[in-house]
Amino acid sequence: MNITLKLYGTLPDHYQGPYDSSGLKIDLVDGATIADLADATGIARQRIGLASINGRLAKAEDTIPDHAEVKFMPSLAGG
Amino acid sequence: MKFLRVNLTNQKVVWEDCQEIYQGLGGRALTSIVVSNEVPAPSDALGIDNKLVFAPGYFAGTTLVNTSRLSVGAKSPLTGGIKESNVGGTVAFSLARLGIAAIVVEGKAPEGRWFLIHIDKTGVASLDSADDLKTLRTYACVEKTQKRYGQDTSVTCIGPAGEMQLLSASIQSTDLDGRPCRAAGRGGLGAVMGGKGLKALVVSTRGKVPPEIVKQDEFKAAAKAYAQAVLADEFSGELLPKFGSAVLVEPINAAGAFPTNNARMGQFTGAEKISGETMAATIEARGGKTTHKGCSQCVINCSNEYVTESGDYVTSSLEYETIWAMGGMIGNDDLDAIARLDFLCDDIGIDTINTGNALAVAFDAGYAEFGDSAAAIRLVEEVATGTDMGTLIGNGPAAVGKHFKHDRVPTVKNQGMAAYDPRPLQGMAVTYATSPMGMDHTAGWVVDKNLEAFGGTVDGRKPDGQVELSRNTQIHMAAVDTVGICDFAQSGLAGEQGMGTVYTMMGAKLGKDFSGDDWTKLGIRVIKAELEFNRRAGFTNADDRLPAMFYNEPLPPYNVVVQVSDEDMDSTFDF
Repeated sequence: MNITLKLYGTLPDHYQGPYDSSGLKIDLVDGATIADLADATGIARQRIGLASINGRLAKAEDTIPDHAEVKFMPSLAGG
Repeated sequence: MKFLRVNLTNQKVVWEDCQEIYQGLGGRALTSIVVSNEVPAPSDALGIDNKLVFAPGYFAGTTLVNTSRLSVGAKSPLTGGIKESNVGGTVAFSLARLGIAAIVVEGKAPEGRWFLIHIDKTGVASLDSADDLKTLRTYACVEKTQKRYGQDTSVTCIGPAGEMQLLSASIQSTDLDGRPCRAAGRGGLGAVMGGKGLKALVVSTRGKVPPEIVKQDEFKAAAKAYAQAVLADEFSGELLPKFGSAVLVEPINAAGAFPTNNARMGQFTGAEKISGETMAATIEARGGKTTHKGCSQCVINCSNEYVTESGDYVTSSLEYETIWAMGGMIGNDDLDAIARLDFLCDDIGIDTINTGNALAVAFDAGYAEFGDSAAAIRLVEEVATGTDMGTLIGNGPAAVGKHFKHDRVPTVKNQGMAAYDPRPLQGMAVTYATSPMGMDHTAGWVVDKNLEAFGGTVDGRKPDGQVELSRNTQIHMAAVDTVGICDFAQSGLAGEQGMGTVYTMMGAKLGKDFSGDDWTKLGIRVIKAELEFNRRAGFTNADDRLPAMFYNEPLPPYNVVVQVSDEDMDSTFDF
């Protein structure tokens, strides 16, 4: 299946290849999870604070549907 | 450390030694305790009996990084309760290096007269005429003031909104480049300053009074460890310098907590166009500055300079709260328009958060379509010219709601919400409802602790555990605002010794042991003083409630409402 992955914050710096803001087109095996996708990018899981699938918060074990837009964001503080 | 008392009624300027009860205090503790002790709570916030207090944080002027916070306090004309709003820039460091713990502004100038407080590099203070600064916007006010007193002065001033005593009026303060782009925005304190006839506070940046620290070596060692932890942290060491606080746009939007179209939705379809990443790329492509030092002693450099396509300065610094207030909250995905609105608010002297709320309520009531950035810019310009509609906007969302008879007004104690919807982040619901400050995010930011992805252990969409979480954070923040550590530099607490570093610095400065219990007692002392003032001003538990929209309207996309009970809200500060 094909998905689009968008990276935020400094995560593009930790991706193993070139990245532009329109996102990455990635082929994944059916049933792949957020954790599988993280591993496929080469980004250490602990760097990814928050993930979403099609605009909804997702957990590491969540399965990614075909043609999904996945976003990885770094961990944040604020105020 | 000394107190400077300035009376506008008789134009007297008097120095006082710091009284015993104020020893060991700074920032919010000083402003709130002085106001609570000296201002009659039922008095008119814009009248002669209110007092405006400026106090640098307790650590300001020391070697500790990111401690250039100035607390400004008074009875708020917006909330009717006590208020502390703090601001960065150069003023806190400058005051501390002149040995000044607080400036207490009293009385009211004769009708039609305007004054400024000037403190030179030797610490000589005077109350000078500012009649020639009347009606000036803040950038022009700073330019004229620095021509008179020199470039080596920090200027803290009001714009037309403050002069008109509008309820969203801010107090603007200069950054390291001498631009009045730092705001003590919340609570309408600019109106208090305007009501007194005080246009500006002008302070030499060349003071050389060393800070009072009993155990210098201990303090320096702890301060160094703290700074190293701030720089080593990914958020303050890498993300903030690159993207500023706007890096929060995408994750808060993903969490469904980015109030959109006057909080009708929790996600904004235009979020990508106004995200920190887009902002940084835009600034970089145009030759602006994505990494910029705005405040004295800052090692984070989260500020930026937003420029036009041709590279001309628009504003500094474009931050998360303003991007939300002038973006998602009014349905506007035009980053250039947001930057223009940010500049206008700074220049006119109004709070971007309250003004974004006011625009959102007006749009929601049908005055304009959500996303109409031209209408937003026109309305904010009208604040300065004083049209009926401009005056309404300048008086904030509650005034706008009343005018349009529109009940979707996201305020608590009349103060507009910040950039985190309380429905999917119910810890923020408790902070918004119970803070003595009104609907304010900095009083107890528990967003990270409400999101499992950020290491939070409390489910943001449920009420369980939220009261305790908010209470502890509000007490902690009252102490943080007292010592004056920048919110974004709290990453220093993630160092090896954690809070121990701060306790060590407190003990070293005071010359006695200081423990975690002392820190908590300090925070509680501040909040108690604020709650007591508010009770004397007539506040009851009924004021610690969110508007009905947050209890009754499920927020898309997660379709949750605030479920924290009134009884639980009332147990937040049961002391």
